[in-house]
Amino acid sequence: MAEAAVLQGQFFITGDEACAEGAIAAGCRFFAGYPITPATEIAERMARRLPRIGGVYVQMEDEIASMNAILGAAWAGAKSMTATSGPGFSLMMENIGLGVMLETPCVVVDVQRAGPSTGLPTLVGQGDIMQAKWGSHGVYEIIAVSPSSPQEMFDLTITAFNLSEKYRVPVLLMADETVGHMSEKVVIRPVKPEELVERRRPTAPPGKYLPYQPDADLVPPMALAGQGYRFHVTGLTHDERGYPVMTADAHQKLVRRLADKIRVNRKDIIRYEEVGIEDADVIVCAYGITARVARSAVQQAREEGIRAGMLRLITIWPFAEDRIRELARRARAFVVPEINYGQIVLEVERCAGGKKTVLVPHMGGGMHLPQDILAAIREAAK
Amino acid sequence: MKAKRKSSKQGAPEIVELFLDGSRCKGCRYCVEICARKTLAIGEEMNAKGHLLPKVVENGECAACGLCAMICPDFAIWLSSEDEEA
Amino acid sequence: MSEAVRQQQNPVDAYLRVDRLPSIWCAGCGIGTSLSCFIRAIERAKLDADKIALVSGIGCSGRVAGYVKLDSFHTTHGRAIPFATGLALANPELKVVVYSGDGDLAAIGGNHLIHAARRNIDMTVICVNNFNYGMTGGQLGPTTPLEARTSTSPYGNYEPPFNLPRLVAASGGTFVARWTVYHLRQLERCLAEALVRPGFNFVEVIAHCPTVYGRLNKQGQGTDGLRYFKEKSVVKNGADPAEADIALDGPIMLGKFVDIQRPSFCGNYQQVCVKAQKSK
Repeated sequence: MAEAAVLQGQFFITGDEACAEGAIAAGCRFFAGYPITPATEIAERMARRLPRIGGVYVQMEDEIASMNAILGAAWAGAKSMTATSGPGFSLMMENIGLGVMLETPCVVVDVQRAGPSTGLPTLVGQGDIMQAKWGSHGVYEIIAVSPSSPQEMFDLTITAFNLSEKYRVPVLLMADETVGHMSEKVVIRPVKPEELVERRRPTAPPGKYLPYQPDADLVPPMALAGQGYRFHVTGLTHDERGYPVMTADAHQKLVRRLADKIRVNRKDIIRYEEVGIEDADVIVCAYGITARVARSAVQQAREEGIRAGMLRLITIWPFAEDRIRELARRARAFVVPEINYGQIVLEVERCAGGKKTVLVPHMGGGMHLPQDILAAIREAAK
Repeated sequence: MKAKRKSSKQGAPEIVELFLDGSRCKGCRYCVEICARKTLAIGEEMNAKGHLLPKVVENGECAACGLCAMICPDFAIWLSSEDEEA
Repeated sequence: MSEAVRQQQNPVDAYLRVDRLPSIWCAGCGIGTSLSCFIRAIERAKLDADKIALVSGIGCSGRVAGYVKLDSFHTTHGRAIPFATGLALANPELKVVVYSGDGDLAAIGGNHLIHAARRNIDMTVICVNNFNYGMTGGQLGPTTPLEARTSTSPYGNYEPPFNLPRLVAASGGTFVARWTVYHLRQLERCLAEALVRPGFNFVEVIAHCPTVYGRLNKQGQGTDGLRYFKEKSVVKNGADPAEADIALDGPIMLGKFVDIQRPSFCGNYQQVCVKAQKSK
């Protein structure tokens, strides 16, 4: 009996499982991956689900192959995804760059664990955040989102697919091991077709179509292999025809458009959640599982009479510069807890207009305790 | 370029016309080398890039086998009609 | 007169991006010849060119993707095969061709080569072997014969090379063949046969590199390379690929070595889907 592709109802599942379901709900029918803790469960769920719903699951020989396979699948018309953790994320970097250069929609999930190197494979980290933006070589912009719960693992995976289709760019889902492995209620509601974004198709006929002639939003319509467009695309610097053109002018033009494509549209891309921000003196800027802990710390601070608030980053990249700058005018200090030795804090500090910015680092493969963050809020409020 | 046809096919045209796009030719001599009848040789004409172009030798006979067209790495030479292969 | 006008265009131009010719390949390089045979093979096989997706990697051979008027992808070094795997699995109606060089496919791309052969993914891989990394100035590669000089083996190569037909056959490739760019008709027919075959088809095409490998090893110009292929080739269809090692200036064994049937990945996967849909 054919299974309904998208499950519906309330489930008590892990973040990894919810991510797989989010992908399926978004229309993902191609997954290529390689086992790695703590992302393996995403692959396992896809291996069970995709063959039942007309999708393709393939376990590739390594993460490099996985990244390339999802690019190829996207060019064949599929919504495609892979999932990995730190070591695999590093391996995928060159070809994330290829995805950016070819302007290929796809989703790459990084369920972060403690690094560097093999690190603590089964324990949480948030140390890949800067790598998400700068990990591949050369000049480019990319989109990265950070879920804080299994529910968000479901919802933000759909968001990630939508953004990747709209902006023709790989979108990185920067999860973490805690959110990936924790079990919580996930409501899978019916997703209407109009909520899903599909890549824009060419309006020009074959012969007239130029693969990299952008529309007004700087995103070019995308032809697929096998439709008769006879296009050529390359990772070399190219012009609107897709042909390699290695002049200074062509490079400037292309690289600027690829970056501006994201920068110019940042109001549409950037998402965040604000708690108690209106009158906040001390703003906690957090993301992922840390934001759950921070919420508790902020609440306790308020109970102590400190005007504390939280800016929870949902989109990590592009960074919510404009909002931080705006908040910095009123607030006295920012507190940035993260499970690393200081990554997003650098961005906050850059945009904080000189206001005190305090890092609350935490490593060792565990989450912060609310009192770690509360202590920093108290200190910053003095 | 024209060559007299040497053909076993009845009713085939007497003259084989060989076309050369001089702007594509790199003077590599693959066509000269592959021709079983030694119909082609490097000539004196030079293209804009300084490559010497092939020419049909005097009284050259062509079996219209098409191998010069097939071997050319630059798609610079082709025939008006090719004998069918045996 | 009118026929001459009609024939002013090379008939294979229909498959070429003529606005990008002449190509970057050196005078006497055999890659263009391999492409010429490939185009003719497409016609011989009566393929729908709209359905061909050609994927290449980095190197001189990888530049083929930029000259064919087909849906073509010039991807990263060594990764043409996994990219092509994604295309092939996501749309089984595509005719997927990988066109790349010895270093791209067997060094950095080696792992992907053996796994795609093992899985029997539906694709045709055309590997142009000129025994070095030509584009970057003639460094040694995984197929450089022992003793050969290259820019990174100035005292002679001391790494035994891969025998590519043997490697692919051992990995499970169902169609494994080797020809040189001198063997035009055999190469065209072999490619035409491979292109309509399901499963993983591998055709090694030996070509001369007059600018680096050929020069460093005193093998002469392009035409000298052709003469070497003509004189030193030994055609042995059905031979054991293990016998097909190539020594510097030695004989080159050619032919169709492997031609077997094995279930393809797609076929296996479809069966799994049926099983999955029946199970609870």
